[in-house]
Amino acid sequence: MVEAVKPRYSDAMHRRLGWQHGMGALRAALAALALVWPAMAGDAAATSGSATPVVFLPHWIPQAQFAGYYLAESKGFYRQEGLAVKVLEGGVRQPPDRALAEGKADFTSLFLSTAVVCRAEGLPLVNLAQLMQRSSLLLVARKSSGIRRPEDLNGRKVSLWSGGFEVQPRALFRNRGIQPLIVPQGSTINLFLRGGVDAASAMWYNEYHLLLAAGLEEKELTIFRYDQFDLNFPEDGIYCREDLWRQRPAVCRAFVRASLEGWRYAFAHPEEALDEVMRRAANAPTNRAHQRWMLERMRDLMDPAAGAAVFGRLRRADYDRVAGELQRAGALKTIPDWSGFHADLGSD
Amino acid sequence: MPIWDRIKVRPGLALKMELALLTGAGLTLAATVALSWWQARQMIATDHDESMASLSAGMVARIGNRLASVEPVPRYQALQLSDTCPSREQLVVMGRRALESTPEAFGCSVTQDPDACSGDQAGVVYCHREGQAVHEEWLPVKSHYYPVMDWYQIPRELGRPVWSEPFYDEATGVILSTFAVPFFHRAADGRQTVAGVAACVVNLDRLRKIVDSLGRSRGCTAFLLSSTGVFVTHPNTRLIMRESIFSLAESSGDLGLRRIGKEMIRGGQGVVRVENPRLGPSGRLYFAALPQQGWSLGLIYPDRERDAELKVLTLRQTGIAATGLGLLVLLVVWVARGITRPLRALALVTPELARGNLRVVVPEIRSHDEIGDLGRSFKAMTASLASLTGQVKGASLQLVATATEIAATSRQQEATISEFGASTTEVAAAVCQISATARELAKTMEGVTEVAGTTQKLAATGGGNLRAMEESMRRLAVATGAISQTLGGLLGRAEAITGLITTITKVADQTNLLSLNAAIEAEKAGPAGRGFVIVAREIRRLADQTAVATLDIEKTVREMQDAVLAGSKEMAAFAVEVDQDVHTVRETGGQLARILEQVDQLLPRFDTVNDGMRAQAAGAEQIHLAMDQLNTGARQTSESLRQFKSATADLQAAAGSLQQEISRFET
Repeated sequence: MVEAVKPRYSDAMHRRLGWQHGMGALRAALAALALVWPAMAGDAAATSGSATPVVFLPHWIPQAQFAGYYLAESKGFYRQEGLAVKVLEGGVRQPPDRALAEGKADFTSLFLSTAVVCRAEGLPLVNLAQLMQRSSLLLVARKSSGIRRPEDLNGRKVSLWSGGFEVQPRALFRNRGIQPLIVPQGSTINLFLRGGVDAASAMWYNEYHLLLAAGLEEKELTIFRYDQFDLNFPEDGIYCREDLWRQRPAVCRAFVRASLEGWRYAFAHPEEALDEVMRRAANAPTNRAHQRWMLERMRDLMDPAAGAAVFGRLRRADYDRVAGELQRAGALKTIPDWSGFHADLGSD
Repeated sequence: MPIWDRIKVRPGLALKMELALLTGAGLTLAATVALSWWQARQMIATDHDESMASLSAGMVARIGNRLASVEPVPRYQALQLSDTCPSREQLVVMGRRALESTPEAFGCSVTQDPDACSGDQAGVVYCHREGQAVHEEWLPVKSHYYPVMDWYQIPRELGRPVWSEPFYDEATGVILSTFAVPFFHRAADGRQTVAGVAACVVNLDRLRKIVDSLGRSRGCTAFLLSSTGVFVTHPNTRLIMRESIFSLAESSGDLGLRRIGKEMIRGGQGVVRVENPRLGPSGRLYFAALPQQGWSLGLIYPDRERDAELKVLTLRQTGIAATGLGLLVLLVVWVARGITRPLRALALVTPELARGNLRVVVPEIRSHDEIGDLGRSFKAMTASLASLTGQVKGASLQLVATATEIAATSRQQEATISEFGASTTEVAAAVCQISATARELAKTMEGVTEVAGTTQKLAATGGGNLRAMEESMRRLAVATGAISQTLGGLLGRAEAITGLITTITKVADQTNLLSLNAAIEAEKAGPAGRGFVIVAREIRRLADQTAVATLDIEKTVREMQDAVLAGSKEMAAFAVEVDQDVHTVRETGGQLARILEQVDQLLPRFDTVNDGMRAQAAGAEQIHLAMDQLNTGARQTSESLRQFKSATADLQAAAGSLQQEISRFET
């Protein structure tokens, strides 16, 4: 069984794509994009007059997880901040860390743990904003399998996504002396649904709802939330390269402001937000009910009602916890310096 | 004959009969139509339940067979590959063969597990068609990480053949499903480990066409759900692979649909009503499972189809019913007219009879039914009526005469009663006076009795007072005796004092003597006795003073003795007086007691007189009441007579008018 040490989100996030015909096509697409990109950027700059052209890459396929950015663009919040933002379509073929490294994107969204590892491995990115305040990663089991406490997982088959998604569950198992049989988890939850494993990983806003949408009831399921076990890893945040932050802090601030505005608007106008999400996800095998669930969970995870002190802020304690656990898991040799990682945008 | 009054034969009777009959018949027909409509509905439902159940079963079997046709080759290859580590070339050959021998397959593959054989061989040999040619691909695990892909991992972890969830093929955009069979390496200790998977992929596009066209041909909505409830086929292609029956249920808040979805993916079979516009038209959903795949087929038979069939059936039945009703109208009119014609003839005669013309000719009715009987009875009745009227005429004349006689008699009686009434009123007045007088007398006697009672009470009180006075007097006499005795005692003491005084006088005399002797002796003693002379002088003076005091006391005692003697005499005289008073008082008490005795004897006699008075008043009262009743009786009799008189007058009038009425009949 292959177990990657380095985070491999692209592997982990394979979605119901069935047969994959190698990576050849992917590489070709990437190369083509790299060639086309400068021209596109130039176009954007030309058409938007004085507005600054920037590119944003969400770290996954179009879904309500990125509703705020979509609305910031479609409602003109970026334009009001003097930005001409091009929102790319994310997915397995567009790893955001690579896009930042290669300059194909100015801003990306990333998991905090991914970003910390990238920074430690030499990619000079900085955290501009931390949207999700809570870990949405869960372990799910059927109550009928007798699993009520983490200890009940001892000797049971548990499927885990690889890379960064393994850090929290393995830390939980280590902390509590639990020894489950770990099976690598693919992009779907079908193995769990068919009874191939006793417990599986799931994102609260995504796979957990897919389980409910496959006929399971919430009351039939046991869930373990990592924040309940002192392993809260806040997830989505906004990142850019350090050089951009140093050279054009005003652009970075404007991008974050408009993005947060987009999120606030999305939460205040969920149906409009869902229209926009469904428009962008037209070709994806998803539905509005699922996206509605996801948007509602985003609100829970981002907690915009908590005010400016929380919404969009990365807290030092969260950073220290995530980096510490990554180091314990062997994913980091040294913990990157907080002040270098965290861009202090001030209190505007 | 009250029935004669009620049946007033008019031309409307026929119409009424016709209407009543037709309403009854119409209602019956309507009920029949409604009942048969309902039955037809049930029949259609049952009919469709059966035909739809067999249709869905047939469709499930067809789809199942189609999918099953790709199963044998991977199963066979898995058997062949057990406990071997074939080279890549061998795998390619196997993949090609599998595809060639399975015309239904979109592609076939053989995959080695990375853990089973040497690392170089770990990979997928995937063969698929490109036009007529078979194209093959080698996908090593390094570049194509299949161990976490469902089509591979699920059969591997479950250790048995598995149909995968349908998925989109990125390259061609078609929906596929993989049938994959794991194969094993058996270790020396007998433990089995999965060494790889042999699989074939099916294009579900053809399946979709079969399902859609079958549904369309029967006016149904047909769809196929995957084992997680996702739409694999549906007439609305927007739902396919995007929505699941659960997401439809969630977005429309349709908990019933969620239950249906769970029952479907559980592998259930059944019929249920659905009303969810996104799922399809409202109607009955027939569902059946594809057990091998865990998929479920659903067929909705819409209500509107059933309603259309029902409409045709109902129209036909209504047509038949309407024709029947028309024929019935004709028949009823004919029968009703037949019945009412002779009745109408009779109806023409009755007004003449009503006017009293008993000589009118009643028409002859020849029919032998109830109407005929009625006609004949009518004729006989007219004849009887004529004879009866003649008899009544005679009787009424006699009646008038009798009534006049009764009236005269009653007038006489009335006068007598009036007189009687006057007499009784007078008697009543006299009795009333007696009664009043007796009542007054009784009241006066009560006053006397009361005074006597008071006197008795006062005398009794006086007697008590006299007895108390006598007692006081007696105590006074005793006290007087005691005082006399005390005075006697006082006299005795005074005597004793006199004795003492005598003794003192004697002592004083001797003292005087003694002092004299002493003075003499002192003189003899010369100057030595001079002091003694002074003492003797003082003693003599003391004796003199004592003699003077004693004389005073004696005098005082004597005065006291005189006073006591005088008091003692006065007390004796007072005691005599007191005794006399006591005697007088005792005598007065005796006299008063005698008076009381006499009053006591008098009181019961007053009571007797009083009772007599009261009885007399009550008697008078009763007489008065009796007189009143007598008077009322007289008045009532008088009233009765008045009524009798008026009744007699009425009788006279009635007899008169009877005579007049009867005279109207022409017999």
